[in-house]
Amino acid sequence: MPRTPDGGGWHTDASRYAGEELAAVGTSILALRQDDDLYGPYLRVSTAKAEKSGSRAADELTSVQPPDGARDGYDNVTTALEDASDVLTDVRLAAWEGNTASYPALLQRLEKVRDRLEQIVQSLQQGSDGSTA
Amino acid sequence: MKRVLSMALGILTAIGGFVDIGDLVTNAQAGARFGLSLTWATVAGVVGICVFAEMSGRIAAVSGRATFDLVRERLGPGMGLVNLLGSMGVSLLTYVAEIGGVALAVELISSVDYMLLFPIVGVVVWLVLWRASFSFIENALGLLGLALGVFVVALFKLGPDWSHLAHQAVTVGKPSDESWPTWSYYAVALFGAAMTPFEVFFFSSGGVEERWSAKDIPLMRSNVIIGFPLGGMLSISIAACAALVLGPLDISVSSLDQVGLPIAVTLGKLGLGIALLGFVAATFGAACETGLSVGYSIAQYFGWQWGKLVRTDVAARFHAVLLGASLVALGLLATAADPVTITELSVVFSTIALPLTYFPILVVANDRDYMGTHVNGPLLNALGVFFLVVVTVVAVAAVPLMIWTHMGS
Repeated sequence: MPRTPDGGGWHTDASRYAGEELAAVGTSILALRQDDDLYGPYLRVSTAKAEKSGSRAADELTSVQPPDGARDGYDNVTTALEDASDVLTDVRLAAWEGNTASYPALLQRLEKVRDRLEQIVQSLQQGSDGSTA
Repeated sequence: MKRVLSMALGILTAIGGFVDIGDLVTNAQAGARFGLSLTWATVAGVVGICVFAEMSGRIAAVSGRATFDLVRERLGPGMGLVNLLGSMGVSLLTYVAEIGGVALAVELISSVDYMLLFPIVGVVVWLVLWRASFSFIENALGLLGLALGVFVVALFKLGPDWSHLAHQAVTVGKPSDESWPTWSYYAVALFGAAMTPFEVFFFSSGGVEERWSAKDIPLMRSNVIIGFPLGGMLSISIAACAALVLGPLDISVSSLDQVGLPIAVTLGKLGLGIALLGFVAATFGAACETGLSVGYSIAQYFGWQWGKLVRTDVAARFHAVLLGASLVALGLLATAADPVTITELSVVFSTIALPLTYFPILVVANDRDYMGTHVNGPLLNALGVFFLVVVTVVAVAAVPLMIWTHMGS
């Protein structure tokens, strides 16, 4: 059965999981930017762990049944988390394949999802249900 | 000259052996989220462990007997058993975390999943506990742990605004997006990470292994008073590097690879390689120390032969405990429990066991029958009582804070 938090609980859950997703995206950005300074295995493990952490955050929030009136916020936040997880998966694939040529494009995508997540986290912290970010 | 070299070696191994997986993870987590605003908790923990490590080392040097040996005799088997269960349980949990930590560190070098590595790591640790000499465990691994000094170098290379960092460190405050309960939880965790009970067991039992006498007390004190605070500086450097590199990117630390990223940013591959050596040495050394601490505490309580200087067949029950503890550790890790979560739990539960560990040491260090003229002076007693009150408050607050904050998340 999905958990059904009240409004306050939804805020807490959404902030927490969006923050975890943001941390995973930030880790991948740092790892890709520094790929020349990282050993191959380190980069691979780092991107794989970021993907795992991001996917877990997205799955956890998606499995929450939003409270009445929070459906728009739920859709917006979970979509952002799922989009970020998709990018993290692409980063992991590229790192394990050693496809360094794709890193600049992946970095751009990561920065884009990071900006969106930052807006969401900020709006949740300001009391919004996440629908307006 | 020999004495100076011996002192230098003791100090260096005390520095290198101070940081374990709990320090690595907790300091990076706290630094990334709270900057240096929780430095006071690490400093308090370092002063606290210096106070009690000095007492337990002095007890070993004067009486020639280790902590649990005297606890049972002085406080009786009942109280001794409570003490044993609390302290040994936490040391065992820490042992699990350290073996998992070694596997995570090797995973970063090999990109082989840690679930495939931890059984090998567990067997290697057990073989070292069984076959290697005490001096190898203490000195070689402690010296290799000095590689973590790369965090100090990275901190200087980052060229931070020192006045801003110093202001953070001396001001009681938190970032606006963090809550006070979470801030308190991490304060408790940092305090617990610095005051882990196994360090005192290993230190005092090591003193007995090395046959310290009263004339070794100055040497022991130099290890504690110089080595431990410098080890604490490594912990603070890890927190500072995380604060400067990970904090601005909103990276909250949940895995070991994130701890090393600031080194790659500042010092490149060479620095990262040294940091990885430090990760492996620190966690491997701590795994050996915690494993031995489990064996020491049980064998000392039951009055069995124990130690690395005793032949294996003579200390068979001690070695059977080491084997049993290793099997329990591997069994727990085989459940796929996240080693970082185990580390966080071990740090918090360490705080609960702190009064059980340190109260008996304070009692024995005041007993003239054991200590003769080397009983605690008024200053040490005042510090001991103060920290006993602090660790009791921390022990009571630890679990409610852990539940309230969902382990600081």
